[in-house]
Amino acid sequence: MARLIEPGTDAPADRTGPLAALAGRRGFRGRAWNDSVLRIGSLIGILLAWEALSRILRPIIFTSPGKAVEALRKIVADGSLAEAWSETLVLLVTALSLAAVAGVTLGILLGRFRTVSDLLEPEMTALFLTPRIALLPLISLWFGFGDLAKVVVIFLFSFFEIFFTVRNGVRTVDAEYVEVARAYCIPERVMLLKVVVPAALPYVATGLRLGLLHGMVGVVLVGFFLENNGIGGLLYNEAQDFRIAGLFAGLFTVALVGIAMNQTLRWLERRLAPWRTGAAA
Amino acid sequence: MTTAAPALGRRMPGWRLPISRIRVLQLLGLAMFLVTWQLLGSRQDYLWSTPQLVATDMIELFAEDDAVLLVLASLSSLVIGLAISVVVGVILGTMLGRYRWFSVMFEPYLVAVYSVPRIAFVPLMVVWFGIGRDFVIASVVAACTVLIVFATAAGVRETIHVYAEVAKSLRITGVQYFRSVLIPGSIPFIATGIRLAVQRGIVAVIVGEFLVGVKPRGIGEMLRNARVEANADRMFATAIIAMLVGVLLFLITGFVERRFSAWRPKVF
Repeated sequence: MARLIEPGTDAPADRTGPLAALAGRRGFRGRAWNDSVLRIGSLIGILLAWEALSRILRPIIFTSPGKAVEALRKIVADGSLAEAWSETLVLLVTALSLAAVAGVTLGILLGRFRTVSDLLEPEMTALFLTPRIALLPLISLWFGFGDLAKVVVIFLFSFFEIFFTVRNGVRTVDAEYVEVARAYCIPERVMLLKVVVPAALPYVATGLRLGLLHGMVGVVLVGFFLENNGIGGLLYNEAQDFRIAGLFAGLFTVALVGIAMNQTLRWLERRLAPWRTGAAA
Repeated sequence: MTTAAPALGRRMPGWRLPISRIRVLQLLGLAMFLVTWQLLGSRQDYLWSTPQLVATDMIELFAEDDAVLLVLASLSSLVIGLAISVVVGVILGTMLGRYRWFSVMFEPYLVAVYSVPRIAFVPLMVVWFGIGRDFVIASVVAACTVLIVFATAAGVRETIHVYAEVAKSLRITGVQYFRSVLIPGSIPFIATGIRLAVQRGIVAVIVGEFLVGVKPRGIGEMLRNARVEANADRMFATAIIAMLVGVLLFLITGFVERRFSAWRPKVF
């Protein structure tokens, strides 16, 4: 995806903003202090708006922050949250390990050997461009509604992200390093392990992050559509019974996990490839 | 033979293969895939279907059923949702890019929204928007707006970086600064954002229609029916139609994006 529109980078210093004069006078520490005031202000504002909305809207469709926290405490206390997440994480880890192995291996091989890649290109691209959800009915027809079908769905959600990122990465790397390696007469087998794989490592990290993010979509989706367990099932059941506070609480945990995963893997990416500043998202 | 021998390194005209080597390989791969599918699938065609059955079903879908109308219904939901996303996204994105205090206050929440699998909001959105067309449009807006916000913000920041000084020295301020500098400057970025948003939006439409079943029927509804009937031919046919719609949108938006960013060097 686009380098320039990847969110999460800090806002560049805008010297024309209304706070610029203030910040300039007080120096860096003043500005940091200002920012935290703004952040706390926006948090309070959002919570107040939320509370106000919950008073206006009917409780059947909206809930207040207090009730959401209470519902969160309840599902933590009775263990249903932990149970849902442990089921989900087992599926996610299984599917993602398979997708990582398959995606990275195929990505490196097909990135390196063009003939095979060209042969398989149309099918791969077609599958990639098909909305994965369109395959869901077929998967439940073939694999049923249990854990096997769920792993297959999550696999399909994450595999293509990993595969295409790694393959494109290998191709980008190829031209630059392979020529040098050729000049030193390095045999093909050694080249793959010593040149192509290490150079493709940062792309592997990016691919894994994207694969994980898409896998999260799969994880939630299978809970709605196949057997209603795991975190997707939790959300589904709360919504079915119109327990809006519980639904908010469940959503909050999904958000938290999503953000935590994204940040951790971003950090890993930067560690693996400090010279690349946020490319190939 | 009167023509001189072609210069070294130049292809002789008329001797070139009509299609490139890659195309040959791709067609070969496709043929291999179809033949394998036909052979393996015909053993249990109620489960795996075959290319022949899928093709027959697809012809039936277009000839007898109203497949074109279904596609158009889905696309109209996409267009309405996208229009809302663009308006909201450009306004928020401009604020985010232009005013640092705004981005300090709200960017963390937008990044959070970006990282959360939006599918998780489906149950909540069903409660809010019902199971009609509003739901589909709302899910398009939920899927697309964030992308356009970040694209616009990036464009505005880049424009400020490049043109702020010139605009200042020409005394372009206030509304005019937005209208004649920031918005035009960020249009290539917005175009990229819209291209990505369309890709995601069409998935949102299909998912929405598939999960909740919407009254003006669409592609997702077709998929839903195929699933209820456990009709493998129809499922494949629908999946292929969904893919073709996706490819078509991909090509169209790619073309439009190139038109709008002709002067900008390719950065991504």
